[in-house]
Amino acid sequence: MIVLLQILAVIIFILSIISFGWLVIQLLKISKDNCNFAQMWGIGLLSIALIQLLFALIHFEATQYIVWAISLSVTGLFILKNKAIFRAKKIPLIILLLAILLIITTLSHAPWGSDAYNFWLSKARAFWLDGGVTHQNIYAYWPYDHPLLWPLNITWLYHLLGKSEEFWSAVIPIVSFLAMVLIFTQDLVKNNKWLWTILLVGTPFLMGNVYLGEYVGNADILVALYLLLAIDSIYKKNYLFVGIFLFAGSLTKNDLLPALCIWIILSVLLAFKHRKKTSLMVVVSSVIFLTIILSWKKIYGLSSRYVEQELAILLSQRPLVSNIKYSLMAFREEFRQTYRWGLSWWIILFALITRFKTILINPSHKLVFPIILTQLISYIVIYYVTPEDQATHIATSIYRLVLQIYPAALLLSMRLLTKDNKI
Amino acid sequence: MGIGEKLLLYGGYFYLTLVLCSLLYFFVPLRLRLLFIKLILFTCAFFTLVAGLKEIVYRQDIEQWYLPIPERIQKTTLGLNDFTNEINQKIPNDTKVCLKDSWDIPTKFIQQRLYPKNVTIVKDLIVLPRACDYLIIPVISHFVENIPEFVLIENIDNNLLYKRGL
Repeated sequence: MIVLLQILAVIIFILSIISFGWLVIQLLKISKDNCNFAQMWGIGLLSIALIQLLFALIHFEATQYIVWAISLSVTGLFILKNKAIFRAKKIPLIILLLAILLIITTLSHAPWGSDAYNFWLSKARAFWLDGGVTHQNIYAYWPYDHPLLWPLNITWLYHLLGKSEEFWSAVIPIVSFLAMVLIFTQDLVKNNKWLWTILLVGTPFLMGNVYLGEYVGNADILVALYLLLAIDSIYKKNYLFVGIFLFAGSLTKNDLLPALCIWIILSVLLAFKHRKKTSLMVVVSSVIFLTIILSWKKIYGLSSRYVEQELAILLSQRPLVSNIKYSLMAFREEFRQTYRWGLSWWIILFALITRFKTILINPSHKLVFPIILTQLISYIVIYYVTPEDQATHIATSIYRLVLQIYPAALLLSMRLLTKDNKI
Repeated sequence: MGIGEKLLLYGGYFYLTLVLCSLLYFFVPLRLRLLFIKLILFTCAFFTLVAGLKEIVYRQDIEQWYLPIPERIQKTTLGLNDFTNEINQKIPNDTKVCLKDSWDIPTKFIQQRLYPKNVTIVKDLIVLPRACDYLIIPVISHFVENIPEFVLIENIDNNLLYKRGL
């Protein structure tokens, strides 16, 4: 009986996230076309985190009753306005089979990973027990400067469940992974799209981040989803969404901040080129998003552990060229780890080599490529300034960083290698 | 090291085939290029799917799917789920708890489950801080240790809770 009630709470949780996403898109009227599942899911997760950060700002304690009331009302509104969505719809067989396989493999065990219990799930439990984020509990688990989108969504789930049950937190990576697959299947590209989807679905480490207990508590899959959503929005020319998704990604992990910064520069160039009111809106909104990120860190007195050190001494101690060379070699080595990536990076590199000229010509590729490249460069910079030993830091994190850019890079290569794309 | 050996070491089949296929691409006639890409894409997708499925098929914990959910959790957490639920009720919030450092995950799991209790991680059991009211020894071995001045009050799946002598 208790398990059935927990399953009901989890279903309400998933529905409430989608409903929040739908509501925000409707209220802000930010989508040109009908918003899709992945967009609603992504914005829903962001909304739930922002609501709780707002609660913390006005010192409003979230309780189980309040969370249930908010979730049920938003879900109810969504169902009322979208009755058609629940009528029998053709769900691709591959998605259905994949969902069943993921549910069985992921929910066969509880999350059991180092990062999960070092901070992500630990923070979620602390926020749940304390009724929200406080100036004290934000310092309960190091690194303090980690953003809170992932833990705050788990906190919301804990409120609905009425207890902190880490087991159910795995539903967020499951749905996020399915959202990624849907982006690939619903994409406008017709030619070979199923082969590309199989390539994404089959990637051992991407799938492993959902069904392996060691990784299912990590935030990297959400970062990967947000970067993919941002890149997909560029191709769909929904530029306002790009800023929103990069903002959401930066609220999940600091790692995506370079992408948001480069997007601000790119959107300024875009505004100069188009000279439209909407282009200006894109720039202003992206700057506001960056300001929000910097502001919440300021409010809680958080800095970055990479910046908050004697950089001058550190830089004088580390030879630049050999350090960068070491990081580049590490990435070269990582891309060919076929037990983690299959041959996905092979085809991504193949697309980049053979179609590089297209990147320089096509306006959408010209926006997408710098974002992915900036991310890659930022990882190399972080490995250079890291307070840890460089080799140790690389060995324990490079596969997670590569995962963050992987789905986006795969989408770029799909667009590059498909002739009949409608970019 | 010769140039050939260096190429094989740094490049391996992965990068060597990548360079070869990229070069070949530019020599393939335009009308056959789509077919060439399709062939490459099919090979990559097939290999990646096989690699992915291989990882899943050999997972032993899938067998746990047939167990009730509480048992699945209990198995993954090495008994710490029930243990922490139990000791959370026994240990008052204002006491000082010492936790024997086990390998990373159990230690962190217990620490987060005991929040907001004051938990100190201790590296060894020879010099224990005097302030410890309770001592937790998570899954380390199958032996129940005798700790001077402490009395064992809970043992769930060899996760041990001691209280300072009565």
